[in-house]
Amino acid sequence: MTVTQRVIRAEAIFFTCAAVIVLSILALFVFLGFTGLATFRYTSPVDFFFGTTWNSNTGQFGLVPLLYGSVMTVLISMIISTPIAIGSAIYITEIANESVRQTLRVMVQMFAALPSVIYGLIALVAIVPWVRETFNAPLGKGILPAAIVLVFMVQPTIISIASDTLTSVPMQLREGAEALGATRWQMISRVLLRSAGSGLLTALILGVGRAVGETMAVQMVIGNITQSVPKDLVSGATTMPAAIVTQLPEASLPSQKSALVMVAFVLLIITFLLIVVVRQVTSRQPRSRARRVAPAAATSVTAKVGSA
Amino acid sequence: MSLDASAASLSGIDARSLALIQRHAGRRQAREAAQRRAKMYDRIATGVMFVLVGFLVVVLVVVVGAILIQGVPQLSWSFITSSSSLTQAGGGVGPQLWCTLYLMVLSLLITIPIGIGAAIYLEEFARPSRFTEAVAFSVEALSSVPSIVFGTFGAAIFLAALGFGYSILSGALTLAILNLPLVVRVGQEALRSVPREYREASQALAAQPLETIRKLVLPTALPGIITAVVLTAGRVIGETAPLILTMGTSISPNAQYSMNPLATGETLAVHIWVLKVAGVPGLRDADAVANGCAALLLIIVLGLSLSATFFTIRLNQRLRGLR
Repeated sequence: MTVTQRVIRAEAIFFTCAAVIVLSILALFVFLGFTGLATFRYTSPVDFFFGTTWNSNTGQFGLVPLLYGSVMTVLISMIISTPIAIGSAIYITEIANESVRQTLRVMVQMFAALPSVIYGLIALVAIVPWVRETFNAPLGKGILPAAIVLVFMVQPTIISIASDTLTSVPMQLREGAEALGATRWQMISRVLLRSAGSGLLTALILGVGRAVGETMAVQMVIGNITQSVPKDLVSGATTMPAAIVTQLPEASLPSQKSALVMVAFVLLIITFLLIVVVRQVTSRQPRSRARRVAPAAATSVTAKVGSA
Repeated sequence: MSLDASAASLSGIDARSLALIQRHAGRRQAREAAQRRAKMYDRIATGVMFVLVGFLVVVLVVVVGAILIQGVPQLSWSFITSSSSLTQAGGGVGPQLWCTLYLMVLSLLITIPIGIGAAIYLEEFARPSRFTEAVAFSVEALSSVPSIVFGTFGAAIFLAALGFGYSILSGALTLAILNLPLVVRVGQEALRSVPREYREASQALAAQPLETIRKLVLPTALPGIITAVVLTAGRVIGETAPLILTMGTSISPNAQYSMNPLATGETLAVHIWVLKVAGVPGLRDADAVANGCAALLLIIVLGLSLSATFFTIRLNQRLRGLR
């Protein structure tokens, strides 16, 4: 074989590897779509998307209780975690000195590495009993404890992307603000946050993506009641991922199976839309910023991709 | 600072000048007050951010500490090697540990060659085209897909359509797809960090393109590729939800320590969930075993995470040292 032939063969092999990635995402859509849409043979789209009961015994599969749980857990957790994460990112990039910064980056990486079942275990021991006593809830499981766990689980995602963004804000902007006599907080609030706005928004959106897909930690503390929309935040509820992992292994009816696959398809669409929004946000950026800061690369990749 | 009218008239200042002086003095006071306020806000904001970071550090320390304090006393050689017992306390997690490692190796064997191959294609062969854009977008999209969606997909395709059933193979394939974007990204970073001059120098020495990749680019990027392997391994070990849907939640007693990829399996992480939530009928020391299991899992995962940091630092050092 000549050298050229060998190069062509190698390129073909590597091309196939790259094609596998494109094929995987296509397969994900096609396969989940086809299997999921079969649910409309059993349940009408109106009953599926607007039904307020998910009960396998009666064969009713309405998405609303699952969707409600997902929206509420994500909403509450993001309200609490946004200031914590953005504040921490600012501390890491703007205030901490070099050695503290390195330590904190390792800490963020450790946060990202913790398996979700560990979060669930801790939540079961620490948060659930606290909710039970504080709110006088019989079980202590529900949307509130799930949201509290998520507050910590989205931290590495938001912090790492937000601090990458802040680091890539040009030094001249900071120096300019300081030369005009601004204090550090004035520089941060009026120059830095404004200039990094779209990057911070990206960080928050990807945090939402992380929270909406989290399964195990939520499943362990939310109570897994799918039959109806919960009456408050501390009684049994469910989310879309929690319902899938709880019910799919035991589902025997084809109607229940396809309804659960449809839920996964809805989740896929939601996270896909989030990525599309992120692309819109980042492409509107006025300057083309340095895409990445090299030494932190591996850290940020782990945290971004997250573990679930 | 202010001059009153009587003092002004004594020192012979007329009313217009007095007004001017007073206005200046007023502005200066306002400016100084604003500066004081700004400094105070600055101190408060710094304090608040310090408290936020401190809160996270405390939570991390408490979580890791609690898991280790609860679990480490359970750890012993027999805990790691023996299987759990239904009749008496003191059971271990040997089969689960074996299954975790087997699943990890199997999944890595699938995902690392494909992922690194794709990274090599993107960095060393492809010119920017619609196809590379599609790959980049797919990587981004895949990495945002929740793991439970991969689990459902794996359950639909590997269990039902291909007929592998609940098995270690189904789990390994599902996790391989799940981890592809991570491997590609870290692989690309590693390859991209090899300076262009190296490749030019290699070409100048009349090396063939494949020789350049094999003998120069890959060895230089090796620490980065090891980072990809280590990170992926950590994620396989910590993953739970997709495995419940594709690999099952138990190890059959006559298939313990089995090499059969079509047997059902249960990793350490899944075992914790089974013990704490699903429940094992008759197992009396479920909590103790779960705590020990959690400590073991945490030690492995954090160890892998820290070594990934180490290899990244090595990559940077190597590049800087050589340059």
